Amino acid sequence: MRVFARYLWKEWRDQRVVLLGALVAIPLLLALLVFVLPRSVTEDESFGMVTAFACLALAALAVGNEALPSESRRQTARLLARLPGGLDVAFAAKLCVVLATLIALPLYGWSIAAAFGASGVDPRLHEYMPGAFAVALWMFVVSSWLPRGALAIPATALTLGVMALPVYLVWTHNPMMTPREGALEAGIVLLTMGAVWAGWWSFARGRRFSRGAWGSSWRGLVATTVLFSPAWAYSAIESHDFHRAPDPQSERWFIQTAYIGTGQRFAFVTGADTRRFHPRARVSKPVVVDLRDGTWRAVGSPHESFRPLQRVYPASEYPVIALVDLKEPGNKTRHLWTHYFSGATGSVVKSGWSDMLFSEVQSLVPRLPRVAPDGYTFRVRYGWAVSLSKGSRRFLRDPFADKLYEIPQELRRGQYFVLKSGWLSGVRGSWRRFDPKTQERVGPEVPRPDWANTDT
Amino acid sequence: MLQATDLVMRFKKNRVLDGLTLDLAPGAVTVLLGSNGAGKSTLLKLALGVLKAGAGSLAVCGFDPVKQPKHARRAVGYVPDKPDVYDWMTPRELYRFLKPQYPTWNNDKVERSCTALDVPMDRKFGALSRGEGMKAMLVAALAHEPELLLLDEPFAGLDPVVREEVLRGIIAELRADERTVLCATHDLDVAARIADRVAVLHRGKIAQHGDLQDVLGGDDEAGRIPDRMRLLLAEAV
Repeated sequence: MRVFARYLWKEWRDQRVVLLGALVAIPLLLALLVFVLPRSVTEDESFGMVTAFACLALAALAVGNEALPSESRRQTARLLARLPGGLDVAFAAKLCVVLATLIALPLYGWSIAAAFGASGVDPRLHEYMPGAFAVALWMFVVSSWLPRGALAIPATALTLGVMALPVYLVWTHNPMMTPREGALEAGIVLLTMGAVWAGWWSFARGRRFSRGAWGSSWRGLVATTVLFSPAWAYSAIESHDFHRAPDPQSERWFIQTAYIGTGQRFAFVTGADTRRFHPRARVSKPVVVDLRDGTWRAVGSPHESFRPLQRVYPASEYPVIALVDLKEPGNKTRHLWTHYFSGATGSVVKSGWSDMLFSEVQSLVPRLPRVAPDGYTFRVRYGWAVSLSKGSRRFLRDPFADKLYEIPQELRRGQYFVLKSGWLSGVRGSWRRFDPKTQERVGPEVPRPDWANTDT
Repeated sequence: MLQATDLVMRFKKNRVLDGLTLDLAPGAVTVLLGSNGAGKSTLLKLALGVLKAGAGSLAVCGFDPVKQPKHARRAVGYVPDKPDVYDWMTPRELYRFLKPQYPTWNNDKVERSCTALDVPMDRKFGALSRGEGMKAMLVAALAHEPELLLLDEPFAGLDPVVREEVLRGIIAELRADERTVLCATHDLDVAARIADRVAVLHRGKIAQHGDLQDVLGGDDEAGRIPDRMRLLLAEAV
C-alpha cells in the first residue's frame, strides 16, 4: 500500500501544475463568461452542462491523454519498468489519478457554473455524460500506444469508429430492429470497464520487456476487438432473429395484438418470439392466421413494423387498419402507411392514399415545431394524430380529400370519425357532423355511429 | 550471483546475444568490455528483467528476472548510463519514492553516501549536473544494499573531470562493501581501475572471461578478441 501511495504521490506531483491551473482557471473563465454573456445564457441549465463537458474535455486532453505517453517521451518509463513494482503499479496509480480527474473536474466546473447562477441539471448531462466519459477513458487507453497524447484524439476516433462500424451497419440496415432493454447501457458499461483492462494490457504488459509502441498497440487493438465482439455477436444474433420467418405455432410465440376479422375466420396477429421479446421491443412480426385450420402467412418485410391501433381489438365485422412504419435503410425519414386488413378474406392491402413523410407533415404545417413527434396513434379509423413532445397540437388526415387538418384546441379531446360522406365529431358522448375546413361542429346531434354499418 | 547460459537475444534480424554464457564470481567487480552495440547493455537489461531473452536461461541472485521480477529487482542495484528520473524530482524525493519498494532500504546509507559523494539532496534533477545526477543515481542503486550492482556505462558522456569524480565515488563505494558488480563499459581506463575480472563480449558471446591479467596474458582463442581491443586493453593496464 505504501508503494501505491508513493506512486499516487508521484502522479500528483507530475500533474499538479495542470490540475491546480485548472482549479484556478475554470472559475476565472466562467466569471468572464458570466460577465460577457447575457444572463439568459449563463442562468440556463445548459450552461452548467456545457461547462461540465468542457471540463471533461480539458481533463481528458491535459491529464488523460498525456499521462502515459509522457513517460515514454521523457524516458522515465525505463525507471518505472525496472522498479520492483513494475509497470502494473504505475498504471494503477495513473488510472486512479485520471479517473479522479475525469470525474472531479466536470463536477467542479458544473458546481462553479451553478454557483454563478446556472440553474438545475440539464437532462442531456445524464444522457450523454456516460458516453463522453467512456470516450475520454478510451483516449487514455489509446494514448498508451502513441508517442504523443494529441494523437490520441484521431487515433481513438479511428479505433472506436472502425470497431463500431459493423454494429452501426447492422442496425442501420435493419432500422426496425430495436435493441433489448438495457443492451445499450450494458454495452457502455462493458466498454468503460473494459477500457481499464485494455489500458492495463496495452501499457503494463505491452510496454514490458522494453517493447515499443507496436507491442503496446497490438495488444490494445486485440483487447478492443475482444471488448467489441459481444456487440458484434449481439447485433448478428438480433439481425438473424429479425430476419427469421416468424412461427406463430411455436410455443415461444407471444401474441402482442390480435385483430379477429369478419366471420371469426381470419385474424391479423402481431407477435414475437418470447426468447427475443421484451416489453420495449417495438419489433413484432405480423401474420395473418386462418383460424379454421391454423395456417398462417407472414405480412410485410423486415423493414416494416406494424404498429397496431390498440393492444387488442375485439372481434369485429369491418376492416381493421394496421399502421405500417417504414424506415428505409439510409433514409432518416419515416413513411407512415396504412394497410387494410380484410377480416372477410384475410387479405392485407396497402391503401393508396397515405404514403407520407414526416418531413412532408412539417412542410404542410409550417408552424409545427421542428422536433420529431414522440408518438403517433390512430384515434379514429382513417385519420391519424400526431402528438408532439412540446405542445399538444393534433392533426387528422382526411384520406378521401388527401388533406391534413389541425383539430382546434377546444375540440381536440373529442373523437373523430372520417367518412366519405364527411366527418363526425364526438365530444362528451355528443356526436355531430364536423367540417374540418371551418373546424366547426355543424348540424344537429346524430346518434353514435354504427361502426358495423358505416359507409367507408 | 548472475548465471547466464546460452542466452540469445535478437532485435529484429540483429542477433545481439548469440549463446552468451557467463557466471559472475561473488564479491568481485567484473567489467564487461565490448564495443558499441556489442550487447553489454542488453545483458544488463536482461538481468533486470526489462528485456526477455529469446532463448537460454538467466538467474540473478537465484531468481529468474522474467518470472520473478520483483525478487530479482530487489536484489539488484542498477545505475543507468544517464539519469532517467523526472526533472522535477529532487534526489531526496527520488529516495522517498523508491524506499517503499525495497524492504532493505537503508536511510543511513543514503545519508552517508550523499554526504560522501556530495549529492545535493534538495535540488531538482533537472538542475543537477550530469555528474551530480549520476552520483545521485549511484546512491539510489546502493541504498537497498543490493547483492548485485549493475553499472551500465555510467561514465559515458561525462567530461574528464566529472568522470574522475564519479569514478572515485564508485570506487570508494565498491571498496566499502564486498559487493558483486557487473560494470558494462567500453572505457578501458575504467576497466583497468575498478576491475577484478574482465569479460569481453564479442559477436554475442563472452570471448574472454577471467582475471584482468589472465585475459591479457592468455591466448586470444583463434583471434576472437579483436587485436585493437587487446592492444587497447593492454595499453590501458
